[in-house]
Amino acid sequence: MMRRLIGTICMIAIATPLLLCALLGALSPACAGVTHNDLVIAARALSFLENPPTGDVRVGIVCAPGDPRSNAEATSLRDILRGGLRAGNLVLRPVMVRIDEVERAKVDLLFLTHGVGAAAARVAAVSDAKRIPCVTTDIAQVKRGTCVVGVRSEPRVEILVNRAAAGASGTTFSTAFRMLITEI
Amino acid sequence: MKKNWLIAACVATLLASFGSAHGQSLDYGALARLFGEPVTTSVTGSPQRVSDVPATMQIITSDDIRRSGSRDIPGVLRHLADIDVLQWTNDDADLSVRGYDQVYSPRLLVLVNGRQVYADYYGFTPWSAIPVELSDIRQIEVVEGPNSALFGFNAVGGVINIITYNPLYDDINKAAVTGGTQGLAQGSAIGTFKVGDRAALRISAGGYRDDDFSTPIPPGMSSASRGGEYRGAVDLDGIVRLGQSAELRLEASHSQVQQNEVIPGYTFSTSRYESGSAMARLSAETSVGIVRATAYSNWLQEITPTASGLGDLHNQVTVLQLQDISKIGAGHTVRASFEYRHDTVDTTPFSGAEVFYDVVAAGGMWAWDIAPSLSFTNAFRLDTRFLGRDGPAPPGYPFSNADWNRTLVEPSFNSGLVWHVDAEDTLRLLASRGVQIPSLVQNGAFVSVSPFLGVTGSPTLAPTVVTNYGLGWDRTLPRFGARLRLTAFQERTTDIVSDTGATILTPTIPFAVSTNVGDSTANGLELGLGGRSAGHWRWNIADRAEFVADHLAPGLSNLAAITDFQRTTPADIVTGHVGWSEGRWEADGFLRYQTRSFGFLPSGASFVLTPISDYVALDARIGYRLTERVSLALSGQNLAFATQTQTSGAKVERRILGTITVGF
Repeated sequence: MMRRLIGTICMIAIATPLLLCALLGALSPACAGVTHNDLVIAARALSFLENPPTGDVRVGIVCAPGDPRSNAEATSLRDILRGGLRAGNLVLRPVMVRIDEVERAKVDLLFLTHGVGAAAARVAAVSDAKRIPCVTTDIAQVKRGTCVVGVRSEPRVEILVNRAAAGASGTTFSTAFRMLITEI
Repeated sequence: MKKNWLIAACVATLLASFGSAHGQSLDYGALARLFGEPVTTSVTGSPQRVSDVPATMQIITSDDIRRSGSRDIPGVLRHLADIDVLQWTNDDADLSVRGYDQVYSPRLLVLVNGRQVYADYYGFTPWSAIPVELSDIRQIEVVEGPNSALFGFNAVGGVINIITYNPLYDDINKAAVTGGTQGLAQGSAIGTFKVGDRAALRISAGGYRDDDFSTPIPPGMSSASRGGEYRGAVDLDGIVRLGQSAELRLEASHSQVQQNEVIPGYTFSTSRYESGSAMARLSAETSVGIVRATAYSNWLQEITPTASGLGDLHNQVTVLQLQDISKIGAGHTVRASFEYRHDTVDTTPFSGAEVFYDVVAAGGMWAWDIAPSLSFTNAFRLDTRFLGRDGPAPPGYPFSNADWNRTLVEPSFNSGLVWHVDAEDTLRLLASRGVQIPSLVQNGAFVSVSPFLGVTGSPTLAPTVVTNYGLGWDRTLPRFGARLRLTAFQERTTDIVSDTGATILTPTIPFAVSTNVGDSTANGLELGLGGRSAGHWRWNIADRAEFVADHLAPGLSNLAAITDFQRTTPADIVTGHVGWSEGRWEADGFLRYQTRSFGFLPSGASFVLTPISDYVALDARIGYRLTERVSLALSGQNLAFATQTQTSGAKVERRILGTITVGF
């Protein structure tokens, strides 16, 4: 009887701070922002496409020339891929693509940088028409359906896929991988 | 620029795994690198990140295993505070999750790649007979609490699923030799071979010889002398891709073990185990989801000296499983499953008969992503067991074969609400019901008759039901590279089965029979805090406090029932780990503290409870990488004292091991 009483008291003692802490946690602001690791996550996610690209893959880095953030992100990506990045049986090669020229870009994959804004609708149109996957760290673009895959590496890896955009662009992930990510 | 090259290197690594989507088996390594945490299928059947699972779960990685300095799986697991370990002899231990440990601990279901290695003819796990080397293991998944809704009967206290390397994705070729105290000579080797990109094979083998501890065996446990101890095991694991969307996995194993151990009745014995298994698994990604069909059979022979009680046990279990997992829309993952199981064991020491059962089960799981940060998972399974017996019975036996013609229908469920409150906090609310059926031995496979007394099981036993409620909170502390975990649980167990406790009077002799002895409730709290810093240090501290209250049937004493979990479960277990690595060096230290508890000891025709003082056990390992391919390690267990009382059996001894590992 005494053990039972002690056990019940312990459960209450445990549950109370748990709920308080949870409440406090809910009130604290979530981290935001883009890191370089986001890009690593994006590339890793691509390996779980049902039909991943092979051989030479031209990566179109889509940027808005007038936006400093977009330019910085695009430059960083270009540096990573400069000279061609050999990985297994494919080589990634960077192609800088201005948003106003995206329709003419001959690429196999689109990286949408931050700061493109409403003009990203042009990327979506190209992604659908040419059936090219679009990846971004700008989650808002995924929610709007202008890009298929959004990634965030901090503080917890998150991969967001817009199903409508994925369907339109023919971007299909394996079933097992879909169970591990967030789809909208 | 440095960051950019780091990114480039990571991209190169990940892109080397292109094509992984074609295979149906999970590429655990690629997924863990992608999400920065292990991935598992051991909670719902569908792949999940460990931070998303609707269960209290811990995953021990291959890195953790290597740095544990242990030479066997129980040695690795004892560094977790939530695991209870009874180290009876040098090579024999009984493990449980969240208390309720006992000899031949029945509450913990153990699997290798989803294949049961738990011996349900007697409801225990012969750890040494598991045909897996430590270097084979990618990760050990520990699920705490019932999980019968996925794995069926006997997953009541917890589940341990041992995941080996997958030769399609992992390139592992190494051999290790270990020598140490207690005359230990141990060796193991693992090799993976690929045939193009469509087929791959993993072969592993290992074995050891050693001596048992030389500390005195308590009077009453046995007057028998200890035998030599040895183990040999081999495991073959082949995978063939069939087109773009299907895969066939074939696995076969064999192991042979002799070890000193403590068997039910708290009797010391030198036992031999010979086991084999064959498994085939066909997986295919179809328009209705991932369909998986599995068939496997396990054979196990346990040979103990008749004088110690058990005699020979021949067991065969055959399992057929079919499941389909699919994701419907953006937020619903569903799983449908069907299972058939046939399990049979010969009677012993009275031979010539067999006790068996068939189980037919159907289950379903629905995981609903209510919002990106909130998921609600429900799993349900209905198992129907058909018990039977064939063959003769000794004169005066209190049952006829018709008494075994019984059907048992039992539901089980798992429900879990997981809420990622914010980027750092996760809350879990869990409820589950698991069912543990009496072992075939408890159901009457053990038949011993003397001129004055018979001992046997009973076909009329009720199953043990474990109901669990849990509330968990995880908080990441990025500033300190750490994570805090707090879990509160209540676990109610009804109809505990004991090997003895009832007597049936017959015209000739009385029979002592297995019986349901009562209920028990446990309230507990688990606290874990761990992290890494600056790439050199890793650390964690964990505590499990648990209060158990037994409620035995009226008129039944704890000694007569050999059941007293409120005294045999330590009220508190604390573990700690500090690890350091730099360049070629690694160093790790592990501490385990356990409060005072009790253990059963035979005393004449009855039992007594003997106190086990609180104790601190200290393990450590130092590793040095001699070359890219060769590494050395010196490790030890129970280092603080030459001998130490950790059970009601013989004291454990300090162990020192030296290991050389060569990659090829």
